[in-house]
Amino acid sequence: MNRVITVKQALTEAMREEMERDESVIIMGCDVGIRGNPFGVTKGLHAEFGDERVRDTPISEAAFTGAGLGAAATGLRPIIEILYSDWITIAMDQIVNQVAKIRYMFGGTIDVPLVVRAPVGAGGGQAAQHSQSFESWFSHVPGLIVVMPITPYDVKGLLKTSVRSNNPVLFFEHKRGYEVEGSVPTGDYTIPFGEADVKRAGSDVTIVAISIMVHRALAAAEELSREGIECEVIDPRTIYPMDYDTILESLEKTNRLVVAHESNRRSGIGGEIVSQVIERGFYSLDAAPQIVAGLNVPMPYSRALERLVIPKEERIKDAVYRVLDQ
Amino acid sequence: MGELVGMPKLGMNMTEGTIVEWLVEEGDTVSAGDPLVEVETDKVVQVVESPTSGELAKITKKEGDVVPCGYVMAVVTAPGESVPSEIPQMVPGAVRPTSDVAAAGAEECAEEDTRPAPKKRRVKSSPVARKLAKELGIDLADVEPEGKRVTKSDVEAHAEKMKAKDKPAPAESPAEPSAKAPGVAKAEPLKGVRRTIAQHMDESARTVARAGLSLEADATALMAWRARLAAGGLQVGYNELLVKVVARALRDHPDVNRQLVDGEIHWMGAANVGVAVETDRGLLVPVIKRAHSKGLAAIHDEFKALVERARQGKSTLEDLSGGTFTITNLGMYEVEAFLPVINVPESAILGVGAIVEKPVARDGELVIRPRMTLTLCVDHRLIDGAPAARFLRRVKHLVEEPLDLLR
Repeated sequence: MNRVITVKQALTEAMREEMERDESVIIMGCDVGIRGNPFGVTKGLHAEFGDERVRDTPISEAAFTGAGLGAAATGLRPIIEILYSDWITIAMDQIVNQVAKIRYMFGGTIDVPLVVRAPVGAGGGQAAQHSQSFESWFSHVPGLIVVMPITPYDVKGLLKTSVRSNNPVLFFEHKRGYEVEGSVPTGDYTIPFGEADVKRAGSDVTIVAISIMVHRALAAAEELSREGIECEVIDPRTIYPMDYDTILESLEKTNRLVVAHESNRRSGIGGEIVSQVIERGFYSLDAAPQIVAGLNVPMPYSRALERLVIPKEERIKDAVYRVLDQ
Repeated sequence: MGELVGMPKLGMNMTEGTIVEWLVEEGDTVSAGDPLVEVETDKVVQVVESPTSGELAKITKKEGDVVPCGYVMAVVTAPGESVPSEIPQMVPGAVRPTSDVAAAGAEECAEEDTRPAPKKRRVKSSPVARKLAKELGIDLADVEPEGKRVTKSDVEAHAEKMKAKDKPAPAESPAEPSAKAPGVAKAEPLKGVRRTIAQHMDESARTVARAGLSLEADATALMAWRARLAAGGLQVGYNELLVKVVARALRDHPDVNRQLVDGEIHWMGAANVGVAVETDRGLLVPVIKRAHSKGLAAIHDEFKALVERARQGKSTLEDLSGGTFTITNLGMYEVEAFLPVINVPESAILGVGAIVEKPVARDGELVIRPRMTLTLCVDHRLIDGAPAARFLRRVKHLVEEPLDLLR
């Protein structure tokens, strides 16, 4: 049976169900306990599972990420939460040099079933230190799985898969996406890593959209459809592993590619996707691929300027026109 | 969805073929390589083999159909596979822009071939357009882009246009013979070898500036030569002897061994001499390649095999391609002289008449000699009268003094 719930509810459900299913699943982070995190994602879990399994930590990302790694290495399945992904930089050494490496450096003898949840994204007038998305940084680091879904169904299924994974997962949630509603089945289900979802079928242009850009791309596609342009919108859902097969298959049909992500363009995941497409699917292309991404500036505090930096539907539409006009 | 069986493209000039006979019926089981269907292409009857093992699930073109190259004739499905509900009209990637035979012919002359490569227009195009053009055998230079460069839709539009053009024009080849015209006892569509001959002759008549010259040669030595060879166990005909003679004369007069192609003069490296052969299906011209470098015994063996294949309708395209000069002989019908039509893109053809005993004056006396009329037709656009005459005189000399072939 399906019901309509929000992304936030899907996240809470996923954690609750995994904690009920497996005693070794614990939650750690700032304000995850009594307060239920600033967005209310862990609300109720402290009351349900108690101090031992839902732990408020001091405000030190390096410390509680390190504690999470230690717990994961010694038999627990911790979900740790970075309040805003911007501050993941404080735990960078733990994540890049320890979490990602430890399985390899101990010859595969140590599992690291650690999930690092972190809200990403701009759009709330929260300026340069509270608006960033770092998915491309972590997809660059061998040893990490990077997950970035946007619909309630995908979020729940992928968070469950992340908790059950024996390898470390960075799980990025878009702050503007928490209240998005969608249909989710009751009962247990999981979604494998590396499996993209075609959110809208179309024959003219393929739009690979990441996180919140999926909604923008779908809105743009609806408008373009009225002009007779049918876009296929693909949500990779996981940044690494990336499902290039689905993208390339779509391009066999459309021959034209637009990639959209909110994080800024320079050295971003869009560049990686385009380079892979050119290398593997050059002879599917009828036009030079276009990337729609955030501008290469620290996020301005001014709402008016912020709107200029974050890609809007209009920019996605423009990119679609550009690939069709070549 | 099964393997599609398409009309093969066997030569550069081949655009379509006619289905002669299906050798397998719909529903029959076939193995990979089994002969499926006989198709009459430009000049030859060729067997198309099954691309895979399975069942000949569907025949889409029937006997007598004229099918453009690359168009689907049948579908072979694997055991248990069902016939696709929609069979595409064309086999993807079936048509290639140049034939293997043409390539082989070019190789043949490569060692002495100094003609410049034709200039190619560089076309801006998208990657998928290039791939599609290659699959469909379309030269990108022929595609008119809608925008600044050729895209997939431009190639598709061009393919559609070609398809429309490839369909035989009704006037040239009526699908249904029109028996209505008064006085017409029987009508049949112009197709296969006859159609090719018609097109070829038409092209020659339209493009070539034909000039004819003739002279009489004394055939005494030629007859003696043939008799001597026969005594030695080699039963050669006059045609084979003339192939040898002409090949030598072409090497001595390379300006006759030339072709006018797309505004360029091509000097042909080898003397590839074709001989007109009558068959049930019409005139065919099998070619003895590099005749100048072959001995009479080799020419004889090759010619015998070529004629046999031509008469049985089993000529390969290789047999009939790459000629640089043609000999046609109507001597056996007592014809003494005639003006043959040049076999384009060649520039010259030799018509050989019957050997007839005639009185001739020799050293002030009247004697009877076997005489043979040789008529040379040349394309005056390329070969003037005097060089043509020199070549013909050389042929006459070698006919009369065959020992000079050794010089």
